[in-house]
Amino acid sequence: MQALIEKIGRSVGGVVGTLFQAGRDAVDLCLKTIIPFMAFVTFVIGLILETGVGDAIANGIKGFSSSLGGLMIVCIICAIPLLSPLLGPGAVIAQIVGVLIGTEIGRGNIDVSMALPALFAINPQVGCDFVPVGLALGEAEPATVEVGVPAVLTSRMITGPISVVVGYLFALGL
Amino acid sequence: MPIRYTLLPFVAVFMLTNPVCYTFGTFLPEKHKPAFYDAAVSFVHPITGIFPHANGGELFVWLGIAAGVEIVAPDMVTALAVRYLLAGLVVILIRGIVTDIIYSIMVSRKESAA
Repeated sequence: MQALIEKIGRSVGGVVGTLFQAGRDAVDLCLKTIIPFMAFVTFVIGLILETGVGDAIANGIKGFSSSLGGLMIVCIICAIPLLSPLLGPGAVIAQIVGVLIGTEIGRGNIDVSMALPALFAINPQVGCDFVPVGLALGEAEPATVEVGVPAVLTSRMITGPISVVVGYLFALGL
Repeated sequence: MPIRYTLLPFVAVFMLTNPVCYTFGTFLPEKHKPAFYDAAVSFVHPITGIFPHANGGELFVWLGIAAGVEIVAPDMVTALAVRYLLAGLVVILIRGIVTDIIYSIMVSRKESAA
């Protein structure tokens, strides 16, 4: 009897603990990551819209992001193996450029059909800063990591532009 | 191979979400780990369109563009999210295969040099 009570007590405690920790993590993520970033993005949008600087940058980017070829150029630049690990952390660059292009789409300066290819064009550097850590999480050998990092970075040069084309094809008929 | 670079990253990212999903590489042979990582990490943004829980910290890659689309064509956002997910699956398959090839070339080069 006592063993049963102890067992129930333990398992209930485990479930409650897990749920409580999940809630704590969720609130933590909202408070420390999502809300600050919302504030940051709001600030960036405000800055872009209110100062004339935004228009200058947007016009520069617009030339690139309103056509498939331009998006591929943006993509290739982002995928250069020397740049991509610098652009990767926290996907900050992708998020800023995403907001920038999103704002332009909202204003009607960029066609909606460019949204999907743009999502891929701004993101060929995804995870390039994180390759050694990600491979370590997959319990890869150090020798694998050594070759794997340049392999991933190189492959992005090829697959980046391909992803833009795939995005463009999927956006057809939207 | 198609399963390794589409279904496995999808399940990994959907179930374990952003940083932990790469641990799924544990179940693969050593030579496929870099390609799997490439596929999984490339999928953490396409999935946020419909399943935002998978990458709470980096939602704005999707939201930034979706916000603009919502102003111009509100009824298109969901269709865009679904297409983003499907296109993402195609892209990670291509990425996985290409990285696999590049990795094996690099390994054989290194072995012949050594």
